[in-house]
Amino acid sequence: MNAAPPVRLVSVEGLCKVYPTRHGAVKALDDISFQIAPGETLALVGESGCGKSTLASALLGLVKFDLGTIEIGGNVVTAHLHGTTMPPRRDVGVVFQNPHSSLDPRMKVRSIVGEPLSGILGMRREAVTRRAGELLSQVGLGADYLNRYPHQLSGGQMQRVAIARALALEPQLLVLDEPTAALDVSVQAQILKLLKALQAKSNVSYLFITHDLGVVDYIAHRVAVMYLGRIVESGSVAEVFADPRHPYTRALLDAVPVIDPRRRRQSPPLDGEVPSPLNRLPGCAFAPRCLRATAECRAVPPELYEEEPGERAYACFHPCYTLSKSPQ
Amino acid sequence: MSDTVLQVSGLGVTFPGLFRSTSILRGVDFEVAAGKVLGLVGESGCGKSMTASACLGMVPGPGCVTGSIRIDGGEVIGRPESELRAMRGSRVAMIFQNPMRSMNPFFTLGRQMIDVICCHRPVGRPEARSVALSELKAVRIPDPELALEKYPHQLSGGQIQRALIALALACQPRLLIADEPTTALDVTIQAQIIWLLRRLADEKGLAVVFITHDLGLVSQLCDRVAVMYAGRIVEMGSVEAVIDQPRHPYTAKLLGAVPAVGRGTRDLFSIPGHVPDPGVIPMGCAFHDRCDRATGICAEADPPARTFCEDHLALCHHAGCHQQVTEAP
Repeated sequence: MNAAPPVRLVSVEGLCKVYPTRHGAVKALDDISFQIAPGETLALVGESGCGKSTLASALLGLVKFDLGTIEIGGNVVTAHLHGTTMPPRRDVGVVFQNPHSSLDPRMKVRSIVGEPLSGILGMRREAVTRRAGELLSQVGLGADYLNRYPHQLSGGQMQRVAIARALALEPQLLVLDEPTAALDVSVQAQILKLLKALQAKSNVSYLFITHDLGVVDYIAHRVAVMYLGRIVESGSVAEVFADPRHPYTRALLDAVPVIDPRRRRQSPPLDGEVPSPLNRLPGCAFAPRCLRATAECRAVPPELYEEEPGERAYACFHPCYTLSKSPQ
Repeated sequence: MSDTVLQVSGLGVTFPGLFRSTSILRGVDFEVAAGKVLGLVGESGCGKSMTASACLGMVPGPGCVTGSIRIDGGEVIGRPESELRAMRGSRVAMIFQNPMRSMNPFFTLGRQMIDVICCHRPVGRPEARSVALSELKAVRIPDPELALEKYPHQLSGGQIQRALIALALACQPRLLIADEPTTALDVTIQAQIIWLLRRLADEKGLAVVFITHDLGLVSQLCDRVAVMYAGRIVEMGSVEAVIDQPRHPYTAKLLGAVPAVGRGTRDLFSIPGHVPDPGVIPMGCAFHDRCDRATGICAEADPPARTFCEDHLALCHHAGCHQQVTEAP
């Protein structure tokens, strides 16, 4: 770790997003703050409905946000009264979960990868073809793929094309929304290795959304765990996974099926389910499922407490400590 | 093996085509005993789900099924549809990947459960309701009385999957086929469902065929595991034997490709190429063009089934002892 404060590429402060629905307001994002340094991968983990994808959409300018500030590459956007949409930016790229639905079936790979080049950079036809070929070779596909349609590709190849398209404008930040969830294990390994190699080469930052903690351990530098619209714990992957502070992080890690028949679960897993975001309880959202919960937890929501400023933070009144490290 | 519930031997499924026929399954053999869980693992397109469909006599369309499937000694293949209908649900039950799609959104959970129970057991609706209630209690759904009155969209995915397991068990089947039952669920809910399935196998003596692509789930739940590739079981044995000492290179590589917690940033072992299209399976061993141990014989002859200790079986010409691959060479 460097002693100097890291330069940051992305900085999000106090981001809030409320979806009004017929049954009441759903707080999808509640006071979210995080930073990403250049060349760093931040993994965002959590179960369905915790707000991971809303957060990605807010960064990409796909949904309005109600409160807070988003800063990407020095440009600051602050929310005002009726909600703000991030303006479209060429230094942020995106890869979605399902390449079958994110690639236009009527377009050839040449047009899919070339569209941002001709549309935004105003490149001419020959230049587009040359650059598209280069991009494809970066993601491990030959130039003969330029003339194919998405249905002629396998899932892994399609995801490679989606990555090539996202890299076309040489973004500084790539938002990856579960990019390997739809792929087989052996293909997932190929894509993860590719993403790592690309990052080493071009120093692009990743915001990696996933629910697979094994993938986080492999690809990410830092991790933020979300539960019902809030970040409940964040820090470096090594520290958080070795010694989780928040009981929810611990439960998530416990729920991961280990490939070792000798380490089978001996006690029943965490009970209950993620509560509905509609009737949010006044205290900690995890309190109803938490074994450590006290009256305090049910009354007041815990603030995110920074154990080491800028490094490790958690929102819990009764954090877990392993035996090696006791609370002060 | 004592008390075999499901016995599959030489199972083949072929779909005729205009120019050539496509073999989805090419000779699958396995057995499941009461109270045991068999994991069927493989990547998409390897034939796991077709095996499950065949066990229920549900191979679609012009598909041609050969071989033998015996459930409790009774042959499934070639049986008339009316007898198959009586068998499905009462002796064999199945749960699917997406619980939301397995329920009719227009009817309450209670109505759907009671209909199924009345169909398979000689009971009236009031008794069927109490059966449904006790089954929902057994799978630990909170407020079962209330849940019966709810429509599927009012329940969460995890609750519906529990309800479907309850429904599957309401007619006391001997065999449960679970086709990726936790893929659509979150990890903490997945852990609950796995815990439930294990308990049912241990306490009720239910035989379970658990189809998945997740080797972690297999380690946590199953007694035996069968690894499928291109329509064949390439390796089968006890979970301990297969995970600790994979004999087939495909199993070894699959284990090395999983990014697991605790493995850190050590390099993953990706398998070059992709799963072959069922229409054009390579000659000889189907895996030879992706395998780094392949020699001349692999491309020519079908690999023999070799047996190792404790009926651990692998289909490979070079089935030595592959240490689990954790780092790329």
